[in-house]
Amino acid sequence: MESSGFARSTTDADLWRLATDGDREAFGELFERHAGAIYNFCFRRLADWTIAEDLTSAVFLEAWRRRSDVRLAHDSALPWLYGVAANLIRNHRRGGRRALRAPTRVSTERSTGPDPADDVAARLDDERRMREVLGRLAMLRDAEQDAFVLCVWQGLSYREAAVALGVPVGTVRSRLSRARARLRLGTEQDEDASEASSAERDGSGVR
Amino acid sequence: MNDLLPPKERELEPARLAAMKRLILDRVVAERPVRRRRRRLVALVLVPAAVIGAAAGYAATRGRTAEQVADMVTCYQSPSLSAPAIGFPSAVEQDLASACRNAWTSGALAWPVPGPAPSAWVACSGPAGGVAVFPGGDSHTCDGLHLGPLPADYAAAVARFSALRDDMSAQFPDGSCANRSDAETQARAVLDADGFSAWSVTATGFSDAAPCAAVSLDPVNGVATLSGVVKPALSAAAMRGAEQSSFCGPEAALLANVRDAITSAGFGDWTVAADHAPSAQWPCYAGLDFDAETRSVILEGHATG
Repeated sequence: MESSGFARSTTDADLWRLATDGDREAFGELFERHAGAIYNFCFRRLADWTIAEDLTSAVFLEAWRRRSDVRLAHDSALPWLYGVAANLIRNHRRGGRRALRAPTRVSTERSTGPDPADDVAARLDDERRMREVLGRLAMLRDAEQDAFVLCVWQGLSYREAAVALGVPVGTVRSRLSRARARLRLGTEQDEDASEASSAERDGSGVR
Repeated sequence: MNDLLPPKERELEPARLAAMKRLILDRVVAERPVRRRRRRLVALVLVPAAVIGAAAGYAATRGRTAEQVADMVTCYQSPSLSAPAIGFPSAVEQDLASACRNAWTSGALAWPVPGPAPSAWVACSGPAGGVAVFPGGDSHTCDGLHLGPLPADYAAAVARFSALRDDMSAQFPDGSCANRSDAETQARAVLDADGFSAWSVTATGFSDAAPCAAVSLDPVNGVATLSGVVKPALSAAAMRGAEQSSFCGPEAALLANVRDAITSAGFGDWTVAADHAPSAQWPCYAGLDFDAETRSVILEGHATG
């Protein structure tokens, strides 16, 4: 990819200020820095690489539109971008694919890397696996899922997740705590059911 | 909880990442903050061909100046005004053929994508404003459709119009509320400063319930229209209320959440309604609208959970 000409030491906050003044290259640098994280976050909430790519573009277009409304409270723009992504993901779920018929899907040849057939198969495996995992998370409320994914999978601190979700740090902490408790409970119940099932198959089930 | 481990992260392929970045940077010139009444993100506006046809005064497009067509670009799937089409805002230094090829290959113009994107395109003055871009290299396309040619100084006009659009957006940012009188003064000042002194400013739809100005620009007629919209505090409160139940039924609980939220924000004189009942297939609503005349917040649109 072409270099945007900004030093890595240039902070997101500086880039954001430039972008707010209309500097597209500064915004491009922010895109380069964070597109990958947003892409994987979107995938982990939706289990679809194609939609994740569409949404990644949509997140940055939305970020550009809202750039004047935001003053970064911390150095990284990523927590706020996660918040934009979380909102668009909710909208997407509510509205189905229609909302994503944006002109931002790009068509390029996948010419590098391993055999494309292997890549497609690996991506399908990812999606199947991710659907299973999200099935486990379905017992949580949306807000709890967001807190869990941001803090546990994406590695955000409570403070960063609070920025992303627009809630106090204490709320993140309580949502995550509830999420973990419910997931533990669900796992224990599954294990109990599994053991009971095995016992029945063994003929040793206690009725 | 090992069964809660997601697949490992993947990187976007460099070529793909670069292409996405290029496309986004191309688009951000055209994408300006727009005061949206509805919440859904729609980057492009699907243009019903029938509406275009009905609105077309074909002969009228022949005399259009570059200034009059500088706001929008509409790409068509074939050299016909009844073909599927998609419109989007113009952008500085935008290559019209590239923009339409992107719309084609992305599936935004027609889905599924109807084969490889044409390499040649012809631009004409659009039947309802803006420019209309058709696939093919036939230099008689515009004449054949009774459309005027693309004005010679189109690129410069787009730059001027984009500056106006930017300055108006900065003057009326999302979340602000300029009253009618202030908005008229501000809009006039922006038009004069940007060299659009010949344009007029009109105002419509202002009331106690819709006191805040939203601006739209009509380059065909040279008019900046200020429309009355509800206070941002009301729309924000309604959104908060609906978000409590993720815009989903049961209907009574959802309506109650929105009602409580707007009442807490000081809008207790507004009512809340839904334009249809949720169903098993469509248990959620897609967005909110506001009817200032009846002071109603309306949940509308069908959405899945």
